[in-house]
Amino acid sequence: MNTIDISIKNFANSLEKPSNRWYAMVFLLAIVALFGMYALVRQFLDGQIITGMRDNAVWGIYTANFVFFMGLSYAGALISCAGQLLRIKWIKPLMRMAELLTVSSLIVGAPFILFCLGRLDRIHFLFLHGRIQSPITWDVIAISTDLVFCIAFLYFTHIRDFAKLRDYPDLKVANWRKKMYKILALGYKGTDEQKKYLHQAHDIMAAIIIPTAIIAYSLLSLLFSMSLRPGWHSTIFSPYFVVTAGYSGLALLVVIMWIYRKNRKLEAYITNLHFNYLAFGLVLLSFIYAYFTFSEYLTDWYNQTKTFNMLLDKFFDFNQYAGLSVFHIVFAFIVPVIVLGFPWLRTINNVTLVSLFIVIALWVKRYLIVVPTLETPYIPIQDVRSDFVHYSVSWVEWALSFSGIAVMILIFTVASKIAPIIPVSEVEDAQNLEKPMILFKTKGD
Amino acid sequence: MFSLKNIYTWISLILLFGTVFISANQLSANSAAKQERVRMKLYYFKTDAGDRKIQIGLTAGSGKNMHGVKNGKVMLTSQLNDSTVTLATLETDTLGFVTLFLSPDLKLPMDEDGKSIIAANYDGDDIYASASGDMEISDIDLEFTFEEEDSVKYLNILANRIDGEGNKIPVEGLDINIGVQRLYSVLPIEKVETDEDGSAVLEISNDLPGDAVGLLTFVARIEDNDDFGNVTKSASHEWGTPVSYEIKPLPRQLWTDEAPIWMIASVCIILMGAWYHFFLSISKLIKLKKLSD
Repeated sequence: MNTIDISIKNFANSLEKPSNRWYAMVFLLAIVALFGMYALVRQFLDGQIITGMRDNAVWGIYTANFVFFMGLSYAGALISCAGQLLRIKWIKPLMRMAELLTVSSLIVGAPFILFCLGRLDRIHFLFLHGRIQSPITWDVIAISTDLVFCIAFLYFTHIRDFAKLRDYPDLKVANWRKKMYKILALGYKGTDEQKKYLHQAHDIMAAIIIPTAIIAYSLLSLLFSMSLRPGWHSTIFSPYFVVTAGYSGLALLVVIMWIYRKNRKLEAYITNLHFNYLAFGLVLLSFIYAYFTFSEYLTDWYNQTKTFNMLLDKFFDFNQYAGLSVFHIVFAFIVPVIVLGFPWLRTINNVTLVSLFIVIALWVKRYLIVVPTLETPYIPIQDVRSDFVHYSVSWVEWALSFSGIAVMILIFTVASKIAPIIPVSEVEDAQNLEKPMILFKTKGD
Repeated sequence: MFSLKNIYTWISLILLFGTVFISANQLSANSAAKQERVRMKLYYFKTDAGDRKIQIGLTAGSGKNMHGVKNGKVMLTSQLNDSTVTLATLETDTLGFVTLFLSPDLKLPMDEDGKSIIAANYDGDDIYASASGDMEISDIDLEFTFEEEDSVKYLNILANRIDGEGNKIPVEGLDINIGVQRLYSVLPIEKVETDEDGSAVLEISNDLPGDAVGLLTFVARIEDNDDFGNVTKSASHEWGTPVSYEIKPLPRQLWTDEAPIWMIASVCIILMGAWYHFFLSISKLIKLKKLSD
């Protein structure tokens, strides 16, 4: 990696007085988020009858969103923590984006599973009377643990930048923000001992977040695979979910990189090399993902059970889910392999566009996991109207989904106004250190 | 060039999404124009306690698309000769049903044979066509007698129709399902048919499990009968084998209230391990902070 001019003064401008365009964007996002709140209040007052969820399809896009956002969060955690632990120099400029991706998607994604509850006013019962045998309880424990850890890790990686902002005399921000930087910097002055403690804290958190994220996302898959439903009851669901999470999160990270690179003129920090490395990662993950998908369906198809065949027929029927299935296969596997696999197609814009479609295709995949299975029960309900059997998304669910996306963008917009989106201290360290600091000492060191 | 910096791009995207959603709603609204044919079914129920209810079901569509007509107004009347008595006007529920519970004091108009006619009418609306139907109902009395002869147990059921003056007239050739009440449902034993005296006899096995003292509840049911509708009558007798229902405590399992020990231990170990590391890293920060002081 070439040496670049990394200094807090290069980013001070982006943290100072926000432009009118920034306020307009925050206003628009807040409007979308508030409309989602209105939809939630309507659902709370009127009940789930105003959603598309009914007796058969008791879950819908809320659950698809939950799985999708949780996946993004775990991917962000894995990327940033692996970067920290393995001392990968080139990944340093991307680490803050990955961390923000983790925290924002956890904050947005976790409530979606609560929206599926018929009686939201009894939510506290889940904590008062939760049974430790239930995968739902495992999820509640794992996700809340993961959220606390990831917020802590995000803060740890900010401490040195907060100290730099505190010590930068020309920073034109309000006094309360200067005080905030002072408090959050924890009196960090960059002494050797302080560096050592901060480094240890980083490493410990990174080391514990990786297994926590993997366990949490595996537990999420158990919500499905612990049931006997066709298409869900699978032993490979946990690794399949973890791989899908990594794939979708990496793709979204590319999109976020592209946006910040264009918007904040970060071409010196986020380079062609980053897009190339992540594109390679995406190709690799697309093959692993395809392998899992193929294994999953092949074994079930080979057994030829009646209910699974009914489910499979729906994936081939263009009046049902064949359109979405084809979209998913094309944009989650075929297009990424072709575009990212050949160097002459692997431009920054192409990588970003393909990544955007991967993200959408993997959301579609989550929808295809949740809804068609619920519409294919072992004992179908008879003599009821079709909307009790077939799921269709209502405006309330769309409103809350777009609201979730708006909140996620809002978190990025506000967070990148508080601290530089490039972790200045981390990148500086990576450039200055000739040899990376070792993680574990071995005998003889 | 698409740029997130450009406010017009955002406005265009929002307008595009809005247009697509409004068009989709318009399309779905225009597709519902033709009136659907409605089928009406009438049911009469008389329970063990003598409670009576009339249920009307309105359905439209066919096959997979069959569905109940919700919020449809149904007028229920009882007719005798030329006079009509309005019983109630009710609105169907989400599954297309209305239920009218008849007060025990209410005497439906009946002819000299004891027959009442219940009629229902649905006027329809823009979506659904009108529908109507009626049924004849007579009151029936079912009586149990328990006899034992040479250690053989006989259950006698006597079925009498009640005429307009309150006289009991034996019903011949009536199918009655006999069963024993179990925890969740009735265990069917046999279907019997009444003779010219309105009587039917059923031999009861000696090995039916009863409660702790051997009490069995016998249930007689007439189902979907053209004259009497659905009628249930039950009676209890100590003809069962006494069974002790002592509940043994279940070992800790996935499905019991208390989780298996290994599961609680695993969760605790994992959580303790994770949170130990969290607090360890927090302690490093505390040390860092102390150094600045």
